[in-house]
Amino acid sequence: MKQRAPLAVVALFAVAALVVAGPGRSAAADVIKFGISTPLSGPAAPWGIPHKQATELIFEEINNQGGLEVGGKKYRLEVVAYDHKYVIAEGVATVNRLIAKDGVKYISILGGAVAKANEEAINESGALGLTLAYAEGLVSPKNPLTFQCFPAPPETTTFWKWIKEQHPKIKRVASIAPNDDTGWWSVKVETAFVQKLGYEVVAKEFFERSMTDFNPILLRMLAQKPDAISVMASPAGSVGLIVKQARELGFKGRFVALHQIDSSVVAGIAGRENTEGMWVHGYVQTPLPDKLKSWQQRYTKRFGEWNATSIDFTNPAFAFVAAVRKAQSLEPKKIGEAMRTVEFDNLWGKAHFGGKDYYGVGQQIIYPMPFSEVRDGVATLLLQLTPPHN
Amino acid sequence: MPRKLGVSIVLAVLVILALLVPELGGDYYVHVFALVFTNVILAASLRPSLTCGQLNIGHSAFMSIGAYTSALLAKNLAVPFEIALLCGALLAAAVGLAIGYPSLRLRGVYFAMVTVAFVEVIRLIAQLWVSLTRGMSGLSGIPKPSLLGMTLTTRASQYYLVVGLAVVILLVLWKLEHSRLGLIWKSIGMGDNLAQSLGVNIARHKLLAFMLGCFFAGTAGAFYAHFIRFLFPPEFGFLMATNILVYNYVGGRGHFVGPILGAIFLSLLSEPFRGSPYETIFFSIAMLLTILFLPGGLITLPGKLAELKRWRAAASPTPSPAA
Repeated sequence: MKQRAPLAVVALFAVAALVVAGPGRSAAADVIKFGISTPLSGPAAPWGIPHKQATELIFEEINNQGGLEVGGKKYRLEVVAYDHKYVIAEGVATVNRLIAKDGVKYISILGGAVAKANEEAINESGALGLTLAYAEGLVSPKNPLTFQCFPAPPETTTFWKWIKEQHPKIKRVASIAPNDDTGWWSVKVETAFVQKLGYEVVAKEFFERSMTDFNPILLRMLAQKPDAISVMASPAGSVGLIVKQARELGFKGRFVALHQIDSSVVAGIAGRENTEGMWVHGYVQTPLPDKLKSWQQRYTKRFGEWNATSIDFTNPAFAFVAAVRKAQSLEPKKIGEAMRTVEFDNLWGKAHFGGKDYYGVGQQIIYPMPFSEVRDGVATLLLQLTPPHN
Repeated sequence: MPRKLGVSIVLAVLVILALLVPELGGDYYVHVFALVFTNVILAASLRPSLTCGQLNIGHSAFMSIGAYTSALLAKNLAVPFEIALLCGALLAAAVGLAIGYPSLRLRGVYFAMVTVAFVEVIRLIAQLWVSLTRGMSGLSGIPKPSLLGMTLTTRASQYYLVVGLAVVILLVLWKLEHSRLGLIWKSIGMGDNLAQSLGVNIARHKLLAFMLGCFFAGTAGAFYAHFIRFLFPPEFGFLMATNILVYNYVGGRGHFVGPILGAIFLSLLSEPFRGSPYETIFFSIAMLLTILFLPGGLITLPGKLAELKRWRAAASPTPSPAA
């Protein structure tokens, strides 16, 4: 008897598991399901939540206007979002679930490593991938249906040209970035770009994302007397600590953050005066163009709280809707073809997918990227620049 | 019904259900259950060590060794999957020997601390040896598993492979647990000084149990590498190691089936809640309830239910003879 009871439990569990599994749900005929695999919990949730919310808001607004018209028929847009917690196995499981169980053919993935881990799943399934990720090799001819939806280091580093022209006294540059693929690639791309411009790269340092005491690294860096410190790919919390500790060690130069970063978080940690003069890509508090003011109001009304990170995370939804309208088809391949040629409006102006000269394939989003300078603690729009490759 | 017949029927039903997953669930559940069986192997492979009373919180390191070895051999040297898998498992066992020989003389929390440190060492090697493992860029382009030169292209075929691996490994572990060797492991776990006084070489037996677990964890890791086809060092960190341990405790350490149940239960627990904003909360509550009400593990559920039934029968009023 002793042996039978546990086996009965196993049987019970197996049956329950299969009942839970059941056959895959089929999509309603007049609904377009758009999948999102993003970190909705854990340290990367501050990116994942606005990614999901921005997409939901855009789709809700289209649905309220009667839906998306394809081939004379109106479709309702629906977001199916799963939390990958920035864990690879979860990322693969969620994308697999979206494709195999939910019948989703269009998936937006946030996170470099997760997007890379799903390259083959996306390619094999023929789904359309809309990524928000920094990962070397992601935009490539081997991923014919993957479209990168926010500017990456090869695009944003163009801001160094403006620095060169406007601040010629800056000559020595030091870089600090997370010790992972995102950080390595960012520093690699930025170093190559600034060296071409004639800058001397005096230090390159990498830190573990959990690090809070940057003094040893900063002491090494500051010994090289840099005029500017680039914090490319570093999360806002880390940047706040880096800025604070570098200032305490006597650094008087500029901080350059050419990835999307909330400078108010940085100022909250480092102090307003320490953040003064910092250059940031993708985060603007003032003056907000009308389109962005409207987005801010709609977003705040819908979700109760404004999140500036949502601005660039609207790109996958805008690009998808524009490409479907152009393709007048729900076939991922046809939407992908339309994506390569369609021009659409995002919150910063006209956008399209390009970058063939750099990546070998025109699947990188191109639009006038905003750059701001922190003045009196406020990220103030300086200028908008188009990437060096179109 | 004779006991043996009952057991055979239950096992047969289980095997049929496992084989029916691709038919009933589709590709997604094939994927989920392939990972469930991988976790079953991992959980079961930790049991010999736990039976010997060694708290091993470093099992994911051996999974990682198996995964990277097999992936690199198959990717860079085109070694056939079967051989790559075996090499991964053997290297995990060899490293287990190297680590276990000096550290298995430690007891309780000291041994646990060594295993925790070892997880970090292996994770950092995978992270920092960029030229070999591609570090934090992640290792991609790992070939799909193959058998006798035939690539298993479909998820269903890969699922059947892991089911086969799990069945074989569970059979081996079950046989060992019910052999003289298993009795020795149990005796060491219950009181190693007493076992030693009876002439048992406890160091050798602990090492054997540890290495065996490492070998099977390496096997699970090798399959995982060729199934997920992307390896990322943080995946094999402390969290994964803890999960493997938790499978054993939530399932119940008192019976061979305990870790299997724990792995199935916890691997599937989040699935019904996936997509809900309260996914993590549901998962945590379900786990808390299990630990609170079934401290002996899920394996004690039938006993608890029977106890409840007896209690309710005793509490109901006895009909009067006059009625």
